[in-house]
Amino acid sequence: MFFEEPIAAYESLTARMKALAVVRPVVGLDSSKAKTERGWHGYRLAELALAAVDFVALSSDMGTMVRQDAVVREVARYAALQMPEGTESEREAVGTWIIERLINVEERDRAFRQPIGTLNEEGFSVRDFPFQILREVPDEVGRAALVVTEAAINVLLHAIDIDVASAQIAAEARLTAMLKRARIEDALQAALHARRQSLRYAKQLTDWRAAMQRSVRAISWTEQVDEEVELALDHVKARSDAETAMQQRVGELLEITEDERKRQQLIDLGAVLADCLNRHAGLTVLLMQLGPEFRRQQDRQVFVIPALHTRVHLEDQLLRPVLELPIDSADGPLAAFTRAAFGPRRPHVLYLPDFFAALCRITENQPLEPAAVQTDHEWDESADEPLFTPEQEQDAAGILAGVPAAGVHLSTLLRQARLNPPGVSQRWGTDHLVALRVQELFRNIPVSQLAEGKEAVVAIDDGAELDDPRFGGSDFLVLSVRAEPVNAVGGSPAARPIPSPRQPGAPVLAKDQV
Amino acid sequence: MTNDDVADATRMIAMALGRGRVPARSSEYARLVQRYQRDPSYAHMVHMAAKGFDLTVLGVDHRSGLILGTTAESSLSLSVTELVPAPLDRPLYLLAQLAIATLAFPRPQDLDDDEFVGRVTASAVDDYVREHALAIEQRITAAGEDQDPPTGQPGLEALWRAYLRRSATGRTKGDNTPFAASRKIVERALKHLVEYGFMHKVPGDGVGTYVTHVKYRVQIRELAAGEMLGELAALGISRLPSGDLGRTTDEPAPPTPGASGPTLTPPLAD
Repeated sequence: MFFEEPIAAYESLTARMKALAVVRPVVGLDSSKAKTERGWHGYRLAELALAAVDFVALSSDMGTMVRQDAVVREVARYAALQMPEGTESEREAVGTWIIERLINVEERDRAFRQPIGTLNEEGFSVRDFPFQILREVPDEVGRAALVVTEAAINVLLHAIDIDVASAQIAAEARLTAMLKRARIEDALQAALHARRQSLRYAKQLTDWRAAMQRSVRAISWTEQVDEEVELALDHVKARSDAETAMQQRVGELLEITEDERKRQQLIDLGAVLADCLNRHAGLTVLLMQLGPEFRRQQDRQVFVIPALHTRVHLEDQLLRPVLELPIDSADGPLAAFTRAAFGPRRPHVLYLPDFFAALCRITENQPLEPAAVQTDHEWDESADEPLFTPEQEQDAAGILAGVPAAGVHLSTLLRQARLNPPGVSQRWGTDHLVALRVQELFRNIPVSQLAEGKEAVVAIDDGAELDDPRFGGSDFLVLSVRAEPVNAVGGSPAARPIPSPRQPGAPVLAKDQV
Repeated sequence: MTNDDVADATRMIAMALGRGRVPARSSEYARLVQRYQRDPSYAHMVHMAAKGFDLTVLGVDHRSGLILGTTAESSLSLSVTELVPAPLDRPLYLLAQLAIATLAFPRPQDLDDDEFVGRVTASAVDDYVREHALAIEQRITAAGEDQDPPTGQPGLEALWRAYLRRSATGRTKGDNTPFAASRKIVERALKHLVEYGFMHKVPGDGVGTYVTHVKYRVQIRELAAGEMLGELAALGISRLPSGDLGRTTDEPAPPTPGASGPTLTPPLAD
């Protein structure tokens, strides 16, 4: 039995269901599998989600936006209140996960969907109500920032309200919430807001300039531009006056304030104000240019003999109608357009039997080897000869392995390397390799070996100059040491006192680079 | 007609099918284009040879060479599924293609002007579609119509709504823009146009401006716009170009902003 029209009565049910649907993703967080799987029992995820929505709503009003990192940090702060014993990384993980759930990153179009029944003249039907809570939008520089959707503000931030999509209520709720909860340095906020406003005007004016360069008829000077230009001028004038006055006041306050924190805030405010004034100046230049540019484009585009054309008007005849079509019906026309626009594509295979034969031929000729991308010849050309032979590598390793615990200078090792091993003819360059290895030991102390208590060869600079016909720099002291394992109790980590290394000397290679 | 003539005609079609082939970079192609313009019987032969492939000659230009269009029967026409494998992104991608063309050639006469060069950026295309979608949303909200699609039939949702809901940008774990963000979809559409030789990206201007080539204008003018108009007409939708929805197209020129315009006294003086 209905006291009113059934359709009107059902409309109220539908509206309330829409409001309740927005609550579901938030409340659902605490019963999600991820919470138990990751051991986040102590956290109240739904409340943290509300904190995130609050934070995004409070820090973004007309035009400002907040990045995801900042929201994660804020949520982590609340998480710390819930679980003081949790680790910082865990809290950040919780924060990141909640934000991603609120954006709904699992869905390609980032929307939550709730089937909701509706009743209208055609009878009862169930429709999918798509909604979002946090949205990713581009900020002034095109990077992703977060904003709260109106649905989320109305339901989650304000109160339960019937008209979920009302922008007016959303704006009022945000303002009330700001007044109630946030303590904002008014001046700074006002300045930041004015700067954003200037940016917005500047973007609008640049857009118009681009549009009028394409077509002067695309914008209506009397209806849109004139009014907006007036507004922008008023804005620049009012803000410039206010900010010049504020800058003076900041200067006065700085002179009398002793408190370090306040001074810093004032200095910040001064910097923002200076930036604001710069922006306003840029905006003024844009405003000055707009009128002459419009006249110039008008001369160029309008006062010419009209061309006779029978072409399709892409926007009026194609884009506007197709936007209003359902996705399924739009597919045919749009696909036809795209296919025609791209023209013919080069076929991959013109004649299938040819391709088949070619495949077979390759398999016959090279039964087991994979097809080489480069020929052998090309490889030979590109390969570098190794500078040192394997025997030389071995000799150098042998020389370094034989270093005594008492230590030996690089010059001695070089002399040793220049001696011919018995029964081997002169191998030029072993001394160079030894010098390289010692230099490497000086730069990279084998810390892990020392920490494990193994014997290791280290090179240190004890201040001696290398006197050698081929090489210059420091005559490193090379010695083999064995350190106490790190876990051992007390004492110096090294077994023997090591002369304190001075600052790294000149590179060992100098006179003769090979 | 000799065998050499046939070879020339088919060679020209092969050149037109190859990506990135332009007369300026190939003397053979340049010679064939010149021959097409001087020798009517050769031109006719090229048309016939194209017809054999179910292709039509849309135009021949000394910069772009031979410009071919596909017919409905042609096996050489592009598959839309290959361009956009994700079915959820496909409508948005196709819409982006139309929006790119619309923004590149805002007035019908731009399609006729041989010297006209269209310039677009990914963010401008995205903003442009959003602007139109928002206008529709405001109109429909004012009319109080219900817009949600029936459950289980997401294909009945209006295209503007699907576009408006899709995030313009976003951030993935690797600090990239998600593949499904609408700006990324527009970027992909532009990239494909560059790959097919219809546009090039202006290097080093920071915002990523794409500039149209002659070939793109001819494809849109001679084929794409007409095909789509036909498809829309088949659905019972046909509109005349008119300025009834806000944008004015054929009105007399707006008043010159003279005295009523911005009377600019530098406001910073005081």
